[in-house]
Amino acid sequence: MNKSKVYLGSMIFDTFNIIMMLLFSLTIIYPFLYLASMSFSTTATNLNPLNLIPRAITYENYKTIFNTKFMLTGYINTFERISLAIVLVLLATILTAYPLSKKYLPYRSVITGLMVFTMFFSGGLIPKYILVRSLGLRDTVWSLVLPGLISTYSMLIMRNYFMSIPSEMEESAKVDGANDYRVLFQIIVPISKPIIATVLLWTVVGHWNAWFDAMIYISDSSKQVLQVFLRHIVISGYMEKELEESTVMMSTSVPEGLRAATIIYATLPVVCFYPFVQKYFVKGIMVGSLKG
Amino acid sequence: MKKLNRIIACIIIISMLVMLAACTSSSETKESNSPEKTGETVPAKSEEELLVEKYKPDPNKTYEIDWLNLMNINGSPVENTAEMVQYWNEKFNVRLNIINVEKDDALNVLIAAGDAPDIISTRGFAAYQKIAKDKVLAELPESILKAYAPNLFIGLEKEQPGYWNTTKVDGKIYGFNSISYYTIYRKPIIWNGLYLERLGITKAPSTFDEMNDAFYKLAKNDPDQNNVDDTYGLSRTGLDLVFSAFGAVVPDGKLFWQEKDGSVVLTCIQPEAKEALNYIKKLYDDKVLDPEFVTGESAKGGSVSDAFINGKIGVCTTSWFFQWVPANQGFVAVGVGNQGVLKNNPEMESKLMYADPITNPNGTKIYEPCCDNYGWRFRGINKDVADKEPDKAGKILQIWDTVNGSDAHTLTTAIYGSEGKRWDYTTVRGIKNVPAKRLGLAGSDGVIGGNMLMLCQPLPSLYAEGYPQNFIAGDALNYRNGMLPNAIQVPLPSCSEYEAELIKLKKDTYMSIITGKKPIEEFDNFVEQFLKMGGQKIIDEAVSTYKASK
Repeated sequence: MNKSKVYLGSMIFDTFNIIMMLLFSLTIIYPFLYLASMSFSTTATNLNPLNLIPRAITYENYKTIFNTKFMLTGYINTFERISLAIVLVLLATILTAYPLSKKYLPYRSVITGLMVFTMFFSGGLIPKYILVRSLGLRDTVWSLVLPGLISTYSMLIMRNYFMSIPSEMEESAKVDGANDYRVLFQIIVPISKPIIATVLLWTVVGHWNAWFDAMIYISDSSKQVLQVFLRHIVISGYMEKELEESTVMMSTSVPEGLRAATIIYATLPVVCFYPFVQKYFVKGIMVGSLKG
Repeated sequence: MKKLNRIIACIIIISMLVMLAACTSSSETKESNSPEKTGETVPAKSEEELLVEKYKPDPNKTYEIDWLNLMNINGSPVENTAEMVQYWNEKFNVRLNIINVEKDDALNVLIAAGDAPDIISTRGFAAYQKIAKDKVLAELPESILKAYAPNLFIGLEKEQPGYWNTTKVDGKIYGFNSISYYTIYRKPIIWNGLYLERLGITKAPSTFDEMNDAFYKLAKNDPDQNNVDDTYGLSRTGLDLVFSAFGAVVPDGKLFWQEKDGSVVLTCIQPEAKEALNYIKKLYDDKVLDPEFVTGESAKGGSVSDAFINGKIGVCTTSWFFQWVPANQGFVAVGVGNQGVLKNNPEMESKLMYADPITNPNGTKIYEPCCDNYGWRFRGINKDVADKEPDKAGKILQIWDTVNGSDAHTLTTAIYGSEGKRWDYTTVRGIKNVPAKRLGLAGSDGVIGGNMLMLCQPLPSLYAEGYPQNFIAGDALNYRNGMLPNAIQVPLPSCSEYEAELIKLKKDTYMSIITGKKPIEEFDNFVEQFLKMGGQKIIDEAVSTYKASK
């Protein structure tokens, strides 16, 4: 009797849970589906709300995008930025986190404390800009990669992960004659795939979405990243109230379909990439958060 | 040992901090070149002549100019190899290095870091005043403007009296203010003629009773004939029509001044506004006013009325009159609003009514202008240029004067591109020699280096001649009728301190009264609070400004 009550209660709860999760998932998926639908719709039909299946399909919006010069260069520049970032960020973060994971490192807490300090305080936008400019990085991809090379948060998560690896593994490798670098790259890194995948995902998504730094440091449009162009297209029609004097450009507006297609064009790679690293994501964050 | 470790740790921290503090830029300071610090003295007699001589461009020199392209204004990034950039390089014997800046915030970072281009732009008088006082902008003495931008210096004052006063900071000119060309036109009032026809109304309402009748029929009599109660008489922008019908122009997001009894009054606290609010409340309670009026009529936050285009409401009055220019009537460009309606329902577009304001109890028709006299977008020259290369500053002024003040053809070329390639002279509704852009061109005006790139402040007369399409439409559709200018056009000293809060108070109170959260009697408390919160100070300043101008 009690078991059937518990079983019934559990069933009701699970059903309710599943329904709520489905509804919640719909609220997340729906905007994306709506945008996808709008991107294939003509201007007339896409003015109507709740349009998940396009009534009049057109590929004109995507044709316009692919024929727009800066959209393609934006893509190329973004991929260049991400490629550099992946290699350098992972290398720098690993090389910073590993030594700090060793308790016998002199002044380890002081160094860690100084790095954590930078999480809360920074010089500000103008000093950062002046630094980047004085290093000659303006209008180069390095201005987008080098300033944020090591995220303290990622480094700490990785450090904690390294600390959870048994020291016996390293000791046995050293007994066999391996030096520190060999231990790091041939023993530690291969078993640290979850945390590396996590940091990799954060790096990719962070650099893919980043636009503010590109807006400040890059003025050459041939070196500009995709998100800046995306931002410009998406919000250009909404600036009308600010532009009393721009009466020349205000007689036209970017069609909604083109805006939607631009958003799809810019977000599709991340959507495709995410499932491959998803399984490492939660695992990596949780493991890396253990003990300090 | 522990104590020794602590001491060593402290030494490391202190030494790192010292290293950080020692990292200073070795770039030269900018102040050293300012005239007042060099200790130079200029003979008082020929000071003006020497100054003019200093700014004189060398006709044989090819100046390299860092030309600002503010993308939130011009619409697109521009490359140095763009068609019109090459054109101007050749015409003026310069090398324009286009600095693409996404928006004002990014430009402010460049200015703060000392990397500003040779041309600087800023929005709002407060920001302009600040950068002028921070010595970011070069002073433009009248002698220099007369010498190197004579068309603009004389023409702008002539066509817009008091123009140069709006550009002065502590009595000195630092740049060009932007003029709004369309202040002679009011906001458009567009009725859905197809719906009115189905309701037995053959002409646009012109009296209060006609307007009231139309509103109720639009909301109650199913004009879209779908047997669903889904239409309304009006929404957010229609409230402007109602206020003006009671004799007060009460715009949504700003303070408006009307002349009354030899002085000026703030319309949002007048008894007429209270009467209008009472009527609007009744419309809301009777479900004649769209309940979603609070969020506006545009689905995406722009100024085009999606609610009107989709047939949800019967009237709209959006901000720009040229957004409502009919198709198939020979106009150069169809309005964005008409394009939307056309694609949705061509019959509706052909029957749109372009109406005058409603006659108010005073027997007049008044309506808000589509813009103020000035746009308060300032353009000036970087002070570094004026200090280090004053002849380059003179060259920039000459370029601006030629493009913006010499002739309409040059101005049209600056906006559209080359004649014969991107635009031609055509006849529009019987008016000859109207520049019209060719259709189906690759690349927008902005991308090729046209649009706003070379403009600083064109003469209104040249603008009307060089880009007349909107003026033709405005006059043909009688958008001048009933336009009532704001009686106070200049920024009042206390506005920067109080205006934002007062507008917020007004919006919140109006919304509360309309939606029934507060009774109409609350209006009197609102007036009292409004005056206490700085409104009285602003009113006193407005009255004295008005009287001083008379």
